[in-house]
Parts: sequence; C-alpha cells; structure tokens
Amino acid sequence: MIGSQPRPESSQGGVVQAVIQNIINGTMMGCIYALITLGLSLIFGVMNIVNFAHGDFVMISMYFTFWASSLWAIETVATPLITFPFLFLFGILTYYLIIHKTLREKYVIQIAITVGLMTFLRAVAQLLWKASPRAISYSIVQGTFVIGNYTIMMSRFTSAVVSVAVIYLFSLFLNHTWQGRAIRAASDDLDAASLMGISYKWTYALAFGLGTAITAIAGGMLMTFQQVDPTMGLRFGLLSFCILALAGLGTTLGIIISGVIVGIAESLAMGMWDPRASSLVVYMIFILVLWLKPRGLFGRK
Amino acid sequence: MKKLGFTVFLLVLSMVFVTYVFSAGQAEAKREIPDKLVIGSLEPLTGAHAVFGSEAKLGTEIAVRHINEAGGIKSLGGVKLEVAAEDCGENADTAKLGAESLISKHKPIAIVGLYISRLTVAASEVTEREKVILMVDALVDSVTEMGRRYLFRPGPKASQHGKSAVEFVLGASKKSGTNIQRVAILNEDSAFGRSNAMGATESAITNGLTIVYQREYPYDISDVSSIINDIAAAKPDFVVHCPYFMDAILFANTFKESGKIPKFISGMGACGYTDPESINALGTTAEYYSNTFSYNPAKDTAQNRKFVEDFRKETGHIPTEAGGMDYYITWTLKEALELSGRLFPDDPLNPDNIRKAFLQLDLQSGPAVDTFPTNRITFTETGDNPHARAVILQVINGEPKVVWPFDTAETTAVFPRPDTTY
Repeated sequence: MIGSQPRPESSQGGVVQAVIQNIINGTMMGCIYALITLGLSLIFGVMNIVNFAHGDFVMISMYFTFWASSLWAIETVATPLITFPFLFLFGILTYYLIIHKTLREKYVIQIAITVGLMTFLRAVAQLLWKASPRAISYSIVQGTFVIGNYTIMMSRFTSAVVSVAVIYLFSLFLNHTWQGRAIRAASDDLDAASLMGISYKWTYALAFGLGTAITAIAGGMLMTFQQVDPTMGLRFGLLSFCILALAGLGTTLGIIISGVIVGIAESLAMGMWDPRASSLVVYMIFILVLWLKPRGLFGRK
Repeated sequence: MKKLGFTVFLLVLSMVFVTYVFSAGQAEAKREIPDKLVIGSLEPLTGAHAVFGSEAKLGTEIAVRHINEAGGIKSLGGVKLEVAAEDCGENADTAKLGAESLISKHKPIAIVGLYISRLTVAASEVTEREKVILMVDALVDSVTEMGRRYLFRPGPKASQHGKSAVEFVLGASKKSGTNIQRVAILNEDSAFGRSNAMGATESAITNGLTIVYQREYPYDISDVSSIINDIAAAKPDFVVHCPYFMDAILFANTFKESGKIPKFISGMGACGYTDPESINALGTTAEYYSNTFSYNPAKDTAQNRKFVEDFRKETGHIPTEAGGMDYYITWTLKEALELSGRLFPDDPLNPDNIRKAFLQLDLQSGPAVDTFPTNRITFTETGDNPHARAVILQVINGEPKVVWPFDTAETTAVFPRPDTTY
C-alpha cells in the first residue's frame, strides 16, 4: 500500500503541469549541483586528483555560512563575501600541507589521502557543531512567485541564478586572465607550461584554492533553503562525481548542462515515479555515460 | 600389571568424586553479589545518530545516579550501579563490535540501547548469545518480533506512534469543530519510517479517513519541492509525517516557503519538529508542528520534575525522547533486579531469573512509572509493554508542550494551524 498510491493529478493536463513543475524545480537544483561540480572539475582537471573530500568542503562551507549568518547576523546570500576568502585560504593550506606531497604518488595513495581528509572534516564538524542539524531560519530570498500555473521558490531561483553567474564569471577568469590561462595550460600540458615560466606549484595551489572556495558560494546558496549536518557531504560529493562524469573535463557549459540533466532526472524521478528512485535514476545515467562515452558528453580531453 | 590398572582406576574414580563434590558444593552455595553492578550504555555516540545517542546515554547516567542516591538495589544488599558506555557507531558491524567490547570488558548485568533499530537488531544477536539483558529504546515493531529471550522494551513501538499521531488529529479536530477527512501519509523509507506509517495507515483506515497521498522517500533527500507540490495537489486536510530528523527541517522550511500549508502537519516517531535541536534550527518555522514522544516531559510527578531539572542542568533543555526513554528504562531495569533479588535470592543475577522477574513485573507506581507516559509497565513474552502509549508534543511559542492525551495535557493544542493555506 505504501508508495503505491496513484498520482494526485488524474487529468492529462494535471500530469503535464506536474512534469513541467518538476522540470523547473530540477533545473534550479541542477544549476546548484553544477556550481558544486565546477570546483571538483577544476581540481581533477588540473591536478588529476580525485578529491573525495569535495562534498565535505561543501558541508564545511555550509557550516561556515551558518556561523557567519547566526553569529554576525549576516544575510545568508551575502555570507560568501566572508566564507569565500576563508575557504580559498583553507584550500591553499590543504594543498601545501597534504595534496602537494601526494602528487607524485600512486592513485591509491591520493585516494586514501582525500578519503582521510573527508573523514577528518566530518569529525571536525561533529566536534565543533555536534551531530545536530543546523539551519538558518530566515533569509531575504525565501518566498515564492508564480508564473502561470507554476510556483517558483525564490531561494532555489536565486541560488540557480547565482550559480550560473558564478560559473560564467569563472569561465571568463579561465579564458581572459593570465592566471586562468596558466591553470588551463597546466591542465593541458604541465611540462610545456613549466617551460613557459608557469610555476606549477602555485598554479596547482591556486586551482585547489579556487576549487575549494567555489564551495563557499554553493554552501551559502544551499543554506538559504537547506539544513546542514556532518554527514551530508557524501551526497554532494557523489552527485558532483556523477555530473563531472556526464560533462567530461574542461567545459563549463557542459557542467551546467550536465548539472541540469541530473537535477531534472532527480526531480522527475522523485515527483513522477517514486522519491526513492531519484538516486537510482541519477546513477543509472552515471553508469550509462561511463559505458557509452567514458570521456563525458562534452569533455575536451 | 593388574595392580597398576586398579590403582589408575582408583585415581580416576577419586578425581571424578572430588570434581563432583566440588561442583555440587559450588552450585549449592549462594551466588555472591559483586560490589557494584555494571549497566552498559550502548548508543551511537559518533556519526549521524550521535545526537540521539549522547542524550540517551545521559538519561541512563542520571537514572543510575538517582538509583544510587536512593540506596541502590535494596534486595541485593543495596548494591550500587555503575554505567559503562560504548559507542555503537553507525552500522551493524560496529554495533556488534560495541556489544562484544562492552560485554568482554565490563561484564554488564544489562545493556541499555541502541536507539537505532537496525543497530539494535544487530547487537541483540550478541546479547542473546551472551545471555545479557538488552533494554531497548528503539521503536521499530519488529525488534521484539525476533524471538529474543533477553530483550525488553518498556516504551511504545513505532506503529503506536503512528496511531497516536492520527488519533490526536482526530481528537483535536473534533474539539475545534474542524472537518477532517483527507489525510496524506509521508515517511522516510527505513523500517522505522515504515513502521510508523503502518500504524498511521491502520488508524486512518479504522477511522474512515481517505488517504489521498502516500509516499516514502530517502531521508538524505536534498529537495522536497516536488513532494510538497504533489501533497498540495492532493489537497489533504492534514499530513502525517515520519521524518528522520534532518529531513524534517527541509520539509518544514519548504512547506513554509512554498506557502502550501495544510490544516495540520502531525509528526510521528519523535524525530524532528519538536525536539530542542529542531526547534533551534527551525526558529519560528517550528511553530504548531507536533510529534509523538515516547516520554512525557510534562508528567506532573516529583520524580519527573527531578529528572527534568537534572537533565536541563546538563544540557540546557528539557529531556529529549531518547534521554527520557533511557531514564525510565533504567529505572524499569532496577525494578526487575529488585524483583529478581526477592524471587531468586540464591541466584538473582542469573539472566534467566532476571527474565522471569521481568515477566512477573507489574509496575503501577514508583520512579519508572512516574516518568513513563502511562501508569503501568508490564511485559509480554516477546518483551513488549502492552500498556505503552506515546504522547504528543506541539511547538507553541517556541516551546514543546504536551497536548495529548487531552486528560494529561500541559496545554491546549493549537488546531488547526493558524497559517493554513488550504
């Protein structure tokens, strides 16, 4: 009996409306997922390191957002102004203290290090904030607006717009600044980039710092409508791996499209089929892409 | 040669005789009571469930302190209790390891725990094998349906929570003259959520309600807008929801932000909405949410007031479900040990004798009952208490208040929600 009830909308129009509403919801969530994936893509693309702690960077960012918002009464959407530089420094430090030493090691060592970092961050979060969930009870972006028959939640909409804007700005940074070009050059051919005078050490540190700092924006946006607890990083980590596999490396537009595909798949599965099926659908897409196009749908390398 | 054989025969015979006399003498001697009895507290102290486990452990610790202050186990010569705590972690393996570690290191007379039902099931394999009494604070119905002999659960099971959530809404709607006919039932997809939902479903059908929406979802869900939209489209008069703590915050925030709020949202299973941590995280959004509770923090008895005061001193808030349950569970264990001491003075700590004492226990007064939601504790062969019932807490002006059963309510329930939109 449980979970087997028919959908409330019995008419065809009702079903179409529900599908469109789910696509809208999924698109908005997908943009936020894309922003989270951007950080992972940067680190993986440049350093060839699979950062298993990436989702936990998002979790830590959400806690910092909670702190900034509740201790200093800063509006949630403005917290990245504080958390972004902090997470950037945290990323740089993590790179020099931990990641740099593993660059020449085998994959298994790198995986062990980032999994260890993931466990460490989780333990730190539990120590500092306990296992209790933390949430922000008010944000100026909470509310709804209606377009036709469709309700759009302001928090998700704002988060999606900010996410796309940040990805676009980041794309400009990569294409039109010296540091951005250095990151791309190091990603394409480290030896050639080094011969051109690019310090690989600093470029890697910068990429890791930026990859980490981007989670500050994602964390800030997520906290406008979500709660945070020490174990939630894993979910975001896995989702971003999935989106990265779908997008491939070296494409910001691909990341947005892939994020939206995953968001819509998740939302449609949840709304039109069964909420328990959302992960199934997302990881089915992940497996299919790995099988049919191992380099991703939009990857350039 | 014959002589040697006879000598060996005599030697073996004398050894058998000595062994027999020695063991018979031991069996007949009264078993000595140790200087102190160890109660194991096996709770999730790390990981996602640590929020429940640490407060459950505190409930046991306060109970043991109060028992010792009151003179220990009197029928056992006033022997004092001592708590040995162990972390049961987040999965079945760590739960089993925790139980094994606790038993091998401290030889507890009983273990109280493990709040999470799947961990309880795993650890009960160990306690059953080692013949250690397991006093459970987990709610899933099937925990007591596995034929465990040394497992007892004084508190209400999950399906009773689900049933109570529906009955409360029906009672409150009758009192306020609100027409209630359509219900949406929602639960996270573990055995815990399903047990609660089964109780709610059964009660809804029994009471002639129409179930217009029913869904299970994974508790680590990241966006619930689709579910809220579907619920609104089904137009239920009220929603009965069994969340798993973190997801309750997401649901409450999304209900509020979407502006699609039914006449009432009744939680079941005691996780989320009305516990201090959820109220803290939700702020004013928590207002008017209710949830079922296996413990009544407002029960007007001296023992309960003392417990609430001591718990508040340590945590800054009233006892949570886990803390309250472990308090009366530990007192119930104490009463069983007292009875075992009276019934079996020669071997009161034998687990089979303690089990017999549990089955003969009929508590209608005393500290355990003074902190229990109803006024009677007995046990069936399966280890359940047939008199257990949940109470309902509702957040009113930022405080969780007992609003049901109506005859022992702390205050009147706010029903329907003043902010309902359909």
